Amino acid sequence: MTNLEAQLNEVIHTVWKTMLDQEISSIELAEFAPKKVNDGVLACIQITGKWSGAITIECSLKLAREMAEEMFGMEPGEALEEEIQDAIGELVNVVGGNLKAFLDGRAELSLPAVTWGENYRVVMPGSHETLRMGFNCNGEGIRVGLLTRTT
Amino acid sequence: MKILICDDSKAMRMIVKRTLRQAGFADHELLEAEDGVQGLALAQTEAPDLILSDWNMPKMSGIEFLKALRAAGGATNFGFVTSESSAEMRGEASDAGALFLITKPFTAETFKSEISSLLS
Repeated sequence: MTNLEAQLNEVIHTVWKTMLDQEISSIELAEFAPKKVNDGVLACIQITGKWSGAITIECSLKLAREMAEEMFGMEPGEALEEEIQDAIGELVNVVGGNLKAFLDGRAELSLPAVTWGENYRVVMPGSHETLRMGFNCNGEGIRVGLLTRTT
Repeated sequence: MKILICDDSKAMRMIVKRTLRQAGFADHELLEAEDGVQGLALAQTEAPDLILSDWNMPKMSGIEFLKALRAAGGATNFGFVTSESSAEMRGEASDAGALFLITKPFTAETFKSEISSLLS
């Protein structure tokens, strides 16, 4: 495990424990099996500095809804679309901010962006995915990706 | 006493309110703003006793909010609740007049230790 991978792993576990009261476990990505290709929710935030790139967090709509309801203190099924987007956007914001603390030099954090639906594809020109990690939360998969800008 | 919570995430504002209750500050009036522009307007019309602000927000960031507040003569106790906490940011926050910087994710204990003396 590289330094950045270990740091991101630690950040993810801490954020889920503190913000969602959830103990999550690492899983092989092969276990992350959405019903359809990219069928779910993806949140992304960019970091610009000596290291530039983006962090993506992806999960099923079902899990995103459950996490939003936990963050808002809502009953099951109560979270609206904009509340789900807000919640997963804030999760990637906190993960990005904490990961940024491990990076050398001054860096800027963007505002989060969220997309969802089926068969979507996220591209950051000049970058490629350098890390992909899987987690199990409440029996659902979470995929965390790190895109590194090379040009 | 009045506490103004300024964060562009409604979910985070909810978590901050819940954490304030867990930290023993349930009796205070809580106001909400979703960016620095709204925060500055509420700070001037509502005269809160404490402002808890995110840093990274659209329209007006938290540090811009604090600088604008101080430039207008506002002396309200001000602290950041943010996902970022580099040494540069802590220095900039302190230089602009912030009393503390709480890093997300946080606990009720952190809130208690940073805020208790300001609201007593």
